[in-house]
Amino acid sequence: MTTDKAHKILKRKKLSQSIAFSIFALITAVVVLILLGILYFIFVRGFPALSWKFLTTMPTDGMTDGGIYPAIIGTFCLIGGSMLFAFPIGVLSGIYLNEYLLDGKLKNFINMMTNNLAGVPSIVFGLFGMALFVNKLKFGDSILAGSLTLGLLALPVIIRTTEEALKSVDDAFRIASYALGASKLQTIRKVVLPIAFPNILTGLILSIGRVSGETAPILFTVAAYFLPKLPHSIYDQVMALPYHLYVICTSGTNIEASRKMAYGTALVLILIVLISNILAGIIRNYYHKKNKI
Amino acid sequence: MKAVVYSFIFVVLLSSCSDSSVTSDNQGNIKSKTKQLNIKGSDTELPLTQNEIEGFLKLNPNASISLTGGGSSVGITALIEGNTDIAMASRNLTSDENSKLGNKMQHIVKATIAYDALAIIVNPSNPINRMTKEQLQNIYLGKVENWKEMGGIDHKLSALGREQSSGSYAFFKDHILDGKSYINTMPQMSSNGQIVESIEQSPNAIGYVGIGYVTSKVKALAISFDGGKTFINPTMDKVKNGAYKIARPLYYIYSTDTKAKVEPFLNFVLSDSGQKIVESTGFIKTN
Amino acid sequence: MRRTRKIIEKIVEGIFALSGAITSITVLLIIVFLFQEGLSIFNQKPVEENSILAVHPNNPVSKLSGLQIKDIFDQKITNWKELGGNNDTIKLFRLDEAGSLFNEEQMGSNFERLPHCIDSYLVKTPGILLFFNNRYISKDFRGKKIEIENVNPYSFLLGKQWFPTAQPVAQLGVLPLILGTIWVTLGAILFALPFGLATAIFMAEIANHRIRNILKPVVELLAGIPSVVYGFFGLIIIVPAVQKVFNLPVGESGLAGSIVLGIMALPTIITISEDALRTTPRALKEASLALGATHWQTIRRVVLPFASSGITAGIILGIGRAIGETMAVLMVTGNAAVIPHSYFEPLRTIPATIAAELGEAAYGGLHFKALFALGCILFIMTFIVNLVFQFIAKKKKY
Repeated sequence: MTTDKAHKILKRKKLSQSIAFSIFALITAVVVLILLGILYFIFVRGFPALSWKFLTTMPTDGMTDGGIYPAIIGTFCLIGGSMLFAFPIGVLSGIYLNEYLLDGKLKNFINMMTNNLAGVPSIVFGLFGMALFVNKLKFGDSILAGSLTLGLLALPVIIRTTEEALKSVDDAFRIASYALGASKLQTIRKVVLPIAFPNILTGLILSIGRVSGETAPILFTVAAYFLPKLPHSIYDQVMALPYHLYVICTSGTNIEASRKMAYGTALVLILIVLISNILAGIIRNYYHKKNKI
Repeated sequence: MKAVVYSFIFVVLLSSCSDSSVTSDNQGNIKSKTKQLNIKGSDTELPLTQNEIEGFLKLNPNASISLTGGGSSVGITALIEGNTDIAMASRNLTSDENSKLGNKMQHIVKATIAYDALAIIVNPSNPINRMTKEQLQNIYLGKVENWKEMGGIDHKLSALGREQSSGSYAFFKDHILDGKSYINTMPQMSSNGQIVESIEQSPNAIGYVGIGYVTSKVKALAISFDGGKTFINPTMDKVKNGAYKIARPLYYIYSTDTKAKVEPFLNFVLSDSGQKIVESTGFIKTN
Repeated sequence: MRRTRKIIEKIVEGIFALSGAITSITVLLIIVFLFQEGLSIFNQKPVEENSILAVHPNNPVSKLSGLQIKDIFDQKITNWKELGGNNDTIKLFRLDEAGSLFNEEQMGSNFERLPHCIDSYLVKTPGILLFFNNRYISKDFRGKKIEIENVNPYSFLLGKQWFPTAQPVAQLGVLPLILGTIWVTLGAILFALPFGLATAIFMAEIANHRIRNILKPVVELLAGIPSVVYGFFGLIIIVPAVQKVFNLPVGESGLAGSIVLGIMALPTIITISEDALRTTPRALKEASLALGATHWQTIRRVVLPFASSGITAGIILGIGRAIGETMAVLMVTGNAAVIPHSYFEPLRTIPATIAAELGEAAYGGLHFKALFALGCILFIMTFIVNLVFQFIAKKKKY
């Protein structure tokens, strides 16, 4: 009798467990389907637009034909510019936070500020970039202004990954280096950085992925609607992929005809993110294995 | 502590360098020193100007022109600040803009490059084909909320408008609403194309767009300006002879200081081949 | 030799310190720039510079609020009686109507006699409300100028009308925008929370290693897709779907915005919740299982309570992301600046307003400052959300 009852309870428990678990599995499947749906939608419709001509010619006929060459180049200019600014400063900052600064109020404060900067909405970066770089410093709408704005946006990401990378370096290496008479700077340069470098690099690549897709910060600092020329100086405006996508799916006299271009542009944007994610993963795995040996 | 000191030094440095840049203001903005011709402003003029640039570049492959949208106010503001060479505007300057421009620049030229008419569009499935100006006003002031009241089907209507930065927004407000404010539930679309798109999708929406944006998938209404006696379709001819009254000139505004830079392109736009592009883009020629 | 090396080390340390301070400096600079511009709106009048509103000298009304002036120009108020004045119909006069009232001879070829025309017209018309530029004010102007109050924080934060370019008086009430932001964010979280949490539980507790190794990068990729691509997807798929399913006049609505934002907030919630779930000590779980609890009971009674603060942190960070999201929202919500009553109507958020209008605003003008004030509000909102997140995230490490 009692074993029977216990059996029943156990059965009920098992049943509720399998119901709960199948619901979770179902929801996860839905989430994955949504993602795959978005990717499928962009890939299937964007792929026919993708061609060598699309990647290497100027847009023509009111954005309904031709390619997105200047937008690609513009986005690469912005990636380059922002990383030129943010990468060294971010890495130096990460080194300072992890290697020099002792735990305490100052470190807590800087950490808090870094986290807050990471949470600042991208449109606020746009406002700030416009007020400081475009207007106050008189850079005008330019690659310079856009790159600096995007660089500030990428800073917290680079600082965080650098810090994490440095943290993962075993203290034994540092102690051994000091024991050999090396100074702090020498230890950082010759011992800590080489070990942490691959992880720092993944941070760089991931922030490239983020920077390439941001629209709001470049809206008022650099982006041009139509500029069928490559930039000559850092004071020129450029077209950029995310803004170009925004433009061709909302304006133009013939939206229907420019749809193909929009799908193609979206696909290129996703590919950049995808490639940078994969690249970061490969580097991480490669060095992970190497370090283990 | 150290970091605080350094950061203080940094801020001081930064502010001092920004001060020095203010003094350099008199020598002109960096932007106007580059060779690139910058055009900025009205969304209505974007596709037209883009096509003009394409035509111009075929003749002058070495020219460098950049085009940015955002609305008439965007262009005029940028012109005031020296961030653009040509401001595209689909409305007249306000008195405030006029005095601000006058303070900064010697002489302002306002060149009319084409004319545009606003078409009132609905979904083709909508049984309504015409409307008086007063009815249109009532829709956009929120006094009419159902198509039934206009003799249509019994369904809530939705009136779409443009962003506040748009020349169409201001022009429609001045000429159809007699200066009264739009109802604040009006969705504000960021471009003409988006309005066309929405109306293609929804049978119960109405909107206004530049005549060049009307496609075969939307229906332009005939409008009466005399209380319902005559209804006029927005065609090129009717706009040209002045019968269709929601028409406006499209301007390029620039300063004579940058005349040398602006003129080659402007002359092309006003030339016969430039005006042909105006017509093929769906706007009305200046002559 | 040693000394130079020491000096070099010091200099390098200085450079490190400077870089270390850069985020703090940036945050400070953002605050300085944003608030300097944003707060200066409160000592300005909501009218264009140089413009004047005036009435007949015998009119008892001398003060009007911005809203009253708007209603007058919208012809909702048509009699001075409604404003505490005489029983006179309000007669509006704008400068561009001058051409229809006076001929060129009266005005002069360069409008040099226009000030005089305006003045004499004013005296003739008891119910007049003049709106014109002070360039055309005559020396012996007999009209009574109307005083307009400065923009004050109360009317700015609680005002219900957002017409920043309205003439003659700009209406700067940001309540619809703040509420719009909150509505969309709440909708997004309501949508993302069940999905995100269930996926996190599945990934942390139920899925085996292989499935998890597939899911993890998929979620990371979801986080990496640019917001404008989500906006594009929303515009083409979700907006028409919402319009058809609910038979709305337009598909651009709070609902469409919430769905798109919800999808975008998913990765944040999944990643952080999953991390939190994984930090549950093995000993706790094993103890529970040893007592005869099933795996599901263990998750419900042991793992979830243990990870609750971490999950809360994930939700809060997701909220922070959703509040600040710009492009996707701009593309799918329809941007009607109205206090939202239903998810099926268009609404407008703070970031979308800034993105759509900043370009149009004259540098340093009223509208420009109002948008910076909006930026301040947004900054404060996300700042608070971030602080709460950090507080909760710290607390979980006991």
